[in-house]
Amino acid sequence: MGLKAEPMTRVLIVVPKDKVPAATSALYDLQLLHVHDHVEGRDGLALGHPLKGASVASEMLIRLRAMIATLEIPEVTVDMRRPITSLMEELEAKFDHLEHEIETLGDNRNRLRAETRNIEQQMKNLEPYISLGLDLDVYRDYETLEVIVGNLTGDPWKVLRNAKIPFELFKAKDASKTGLFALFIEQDRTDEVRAIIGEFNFTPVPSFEGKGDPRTMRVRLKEKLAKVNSSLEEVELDLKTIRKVHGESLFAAEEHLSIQIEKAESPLRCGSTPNALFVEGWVPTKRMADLEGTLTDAVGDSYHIEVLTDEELTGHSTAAVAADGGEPTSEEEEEAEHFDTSKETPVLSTNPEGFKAYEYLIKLVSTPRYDEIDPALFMYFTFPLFFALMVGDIGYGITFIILGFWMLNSKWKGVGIVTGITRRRLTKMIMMSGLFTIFTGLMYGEFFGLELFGTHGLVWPHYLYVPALDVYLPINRLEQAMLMINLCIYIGIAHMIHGLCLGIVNTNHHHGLKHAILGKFSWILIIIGGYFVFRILFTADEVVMTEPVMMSGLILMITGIIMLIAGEGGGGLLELPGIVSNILSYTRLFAIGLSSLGIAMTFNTLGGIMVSKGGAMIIVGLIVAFLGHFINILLALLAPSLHALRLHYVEWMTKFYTGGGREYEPFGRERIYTEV
Amino acid sequence: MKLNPFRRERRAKVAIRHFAYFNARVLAMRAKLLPKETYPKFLQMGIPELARSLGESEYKVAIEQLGPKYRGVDLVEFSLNRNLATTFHGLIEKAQGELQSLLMDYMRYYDLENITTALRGKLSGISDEDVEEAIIPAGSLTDAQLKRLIEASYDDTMEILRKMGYDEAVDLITDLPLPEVEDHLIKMYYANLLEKTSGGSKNMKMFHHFISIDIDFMNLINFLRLKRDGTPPTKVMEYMMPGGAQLPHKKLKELAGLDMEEILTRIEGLAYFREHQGALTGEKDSLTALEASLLKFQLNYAVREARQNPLSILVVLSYILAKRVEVANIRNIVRGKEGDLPTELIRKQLVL
Amino acid sequence: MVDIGVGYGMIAIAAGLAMGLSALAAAIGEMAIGSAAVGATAEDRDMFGKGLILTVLPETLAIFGLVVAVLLWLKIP
Repeated sequence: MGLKAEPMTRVLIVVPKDKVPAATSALYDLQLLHVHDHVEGRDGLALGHPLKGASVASEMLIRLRAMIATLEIPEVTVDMRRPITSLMEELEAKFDHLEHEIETLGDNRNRLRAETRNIEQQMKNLEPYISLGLDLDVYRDYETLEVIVGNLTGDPWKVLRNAKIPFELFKAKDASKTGLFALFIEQDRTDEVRAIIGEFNFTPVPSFEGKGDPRTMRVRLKEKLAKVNSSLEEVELDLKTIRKVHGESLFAAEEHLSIQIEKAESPLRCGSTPNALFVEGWVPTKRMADLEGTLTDAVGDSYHIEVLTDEELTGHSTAAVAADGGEPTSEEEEEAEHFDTSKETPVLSTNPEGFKAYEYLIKLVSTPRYDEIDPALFMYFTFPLFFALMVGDIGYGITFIILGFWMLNSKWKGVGIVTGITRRRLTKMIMMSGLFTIFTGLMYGEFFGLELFGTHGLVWPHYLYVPALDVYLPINRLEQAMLMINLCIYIGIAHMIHGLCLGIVNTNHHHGLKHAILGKFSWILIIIGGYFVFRILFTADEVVMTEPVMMSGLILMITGIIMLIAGEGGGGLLELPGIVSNILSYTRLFAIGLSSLGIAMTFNTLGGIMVSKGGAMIIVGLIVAFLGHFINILLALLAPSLHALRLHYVEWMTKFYTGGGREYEPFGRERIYTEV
Repeated sequence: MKLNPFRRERRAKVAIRHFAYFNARVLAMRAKLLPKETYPKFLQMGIPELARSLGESEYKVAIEQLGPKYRGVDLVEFSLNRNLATTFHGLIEKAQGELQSLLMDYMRYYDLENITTALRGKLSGISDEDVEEAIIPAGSLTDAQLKRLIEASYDDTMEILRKMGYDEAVDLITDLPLPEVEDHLIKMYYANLLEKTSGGSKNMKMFHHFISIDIDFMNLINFLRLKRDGTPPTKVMEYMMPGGAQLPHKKLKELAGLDMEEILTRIEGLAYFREHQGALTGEKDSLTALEASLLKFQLNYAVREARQNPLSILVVLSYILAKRVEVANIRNIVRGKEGDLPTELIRKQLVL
Repeated sequence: MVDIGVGYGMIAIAAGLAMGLSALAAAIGEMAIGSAAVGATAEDRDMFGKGLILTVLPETLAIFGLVVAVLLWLKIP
């Protein structure tokens, strides 16, 4: 369940030239075959030619899409699907006329929009001149004078005076803030002056063509803008009317034409000879019969279908190489590179709905390969666990669940990539994590940062001894840091060993058992052995090498290292520090939680102090505490989930996951706006 | 020789985090370049299909805007121009400080190209509207300036150019035929870029290096063309641009005296081709294919260097080169189809 | 209050340094990664998830720092 992708069968369909339109159309409508794009020259086959009609339809589609773009039609939702024959007839009758109308209006709109932008820019350019207050004429048309307008910081005027440069200066009313000025100087000293004011962060203000009082100018520009805007609105209204009347049918026609073209261009994805088309692709094995049935319905028995096996594809299958037990020779590897079944075969995951959120998160890294274990199933349990260990608060857990219910029922559509079905799935994931969080909250005895249980417990100031684990519950995270760090390391070791076990399965499948044991099992030995050795080194008062635990730890570790060197050479040893840091990395389960708890406690204390003052401060205190927790909950959604993900991506998945697979994308698409 | 618009200005050094941001954007853009597999498909398509197919890629906006006005080859060519300009403009807008000013200087190439396009349009009486679409407004000239340039009469153009600071260009234009003017302008452009970027920050140096490689390949292609036409060595050298990285003037002079066979063997010894021994000799007989493969080597070399310096200006420069190559490829395909060239011949021109 | 020796003060300073310096290092790492992530997301919205996760990678440094600081802190009675 979920661990393996849906089994696929690779097929080669050969269709005679005259049956190609019927066959490709049928395949398109079936939406089952994942076409393997033909690369020109492979197997000595040329690329197919597009069918007749593709060019004419393309030409129309270009114009249609231009119309849709001009009308700025957003995605339309329609209740009724239009029958294509009447749709296309109707469209052809009005096409030229409609196109002309839309184009004219569109041109008008673009011109007016440009004009608005232009006027707005002018008004912005005018601003500094209004502040300066001088008439616009005074800035231009001098024989010997140069005018510099701009902003600067500081006081260059003294420098100008010292340099004996004659000048006249006008400062804006708000010059102390903006440093805006107009400077009149002799033309031949311009370079000198520019060099001086350049030292004072001088930025020039664009010049303004115009006459008279700048304020009058502003009024005039405003009037002009209003006029342009009103004609723009008129044009927009006309376009909107067209959009209302024709928008849906344009959209529907776009869909129909696109589908027609996709069908007509399907030979471009296939190999061909003068007499036949070779369609290669994959079908889910259990639906093989559907494929054959559809083709027979479409073209009778004039087609030929063949199931291709791995051996036929690569000459030497990877499995055969693995059975030899030896390294694949470079020649074989090259050939395997030419066609890698595990990479090329499309992946249709079989995860039940509940795991889909994790499938999505895994695909953020990379799509799993066809013959690889899909980690979604395991993440379904470990992700909420890690999340909960970090947050660990009964109150927050309950809040997440309530938030989740609200999200599922709210009309808010979500933002960015988290929309639609993904949003629902991620919401459910958060709710699941909330549930786990309640349990860990009980374990830590925390409720909105307050201690409910334990020695300082508000409700139940006692400990509960769990003999099986030799632990007193609840664990106080602040006071029992060592215990928490140890716990994190145990979890880390367990998780890593689990990852390595999956690695053994994957490697065994790909490269054989020998590789799996030398490359992955060796690490398990090193981790377990290393754990005991380090434990003793760090905690024992006196290190006795001959002690049985120490001895067996050392033996395990050394055996692992020897196996590793045998499998991967000395280079494998370079990863040893990496493994140590991987395991230590799990201490974030404690560290992130500590920061979350810290924030919660701070706001509780802060609120508490205010409430204790009495009076109106009670309300303020409550608000502070509420806001604090609100922020903390948002942070708790972000940081712990990211870190839980990271532990999976970086520490866990690197032990077994290759990725780089291809998603199953069957040829064809669903009609949304039209019907045949 | 100096073009006035190249003023040396001091620009702020660019922080690493800006390169991280900017180069990530550039790499994301590079990922959206058309994949190799597209070209064989384009070769099978008719021009309207090709235009539509382009309209489903990064060229969507351009095709949609020009779709109602143009058909066929014009639609594709003008969309390519428009897309190239918006893409490069976008790059300049996203960049900051020194990076931005270097890119702006690099893009001045299009100013020169646009000036010659406008002049050619005037001389051959092409309508202003068509000239406007043939122009690639990616350089420093604003739309208003370009419009003035296109609409003015020939004599007024000279005046406008002088006002824009292209005095020397005007002097050239009045003395020489247009193709030679073009050649001179490009020489000026490169000489100025090289001068401007000699010394300076690490990125300036990298830019300088990139330009000198550009010059090498431009020289190589011109060199081979001239040699094939049997031009005498001294004449060949007149067309060579000084400042190449691995093929400085002296080395080119040496090569100019040799015969084609010998030249190619020598060229193969350059670092650009080191990892691909024999790749050039196989293409000897056809200069078209040889030119395409030379461009490919330049692109590969640029991409390789960019990969070794992921937080440098080389990333965007290699993207610009790749984008230009993509546009040239599509242009070659539609032009070939328009001229009814056999598919095999068009394919030879493509840089894949 | 009276008996806290210089040694314990040193431990406290060490804990502070362990936390502060490692957080600084993490911040420097995140600066470039974050910029790149924003850049990539600007071109392609699907990069958001990947960018977010890449951005928190260097946070491990700060977490190691925190753990070391806590361990040091526990040495102070």
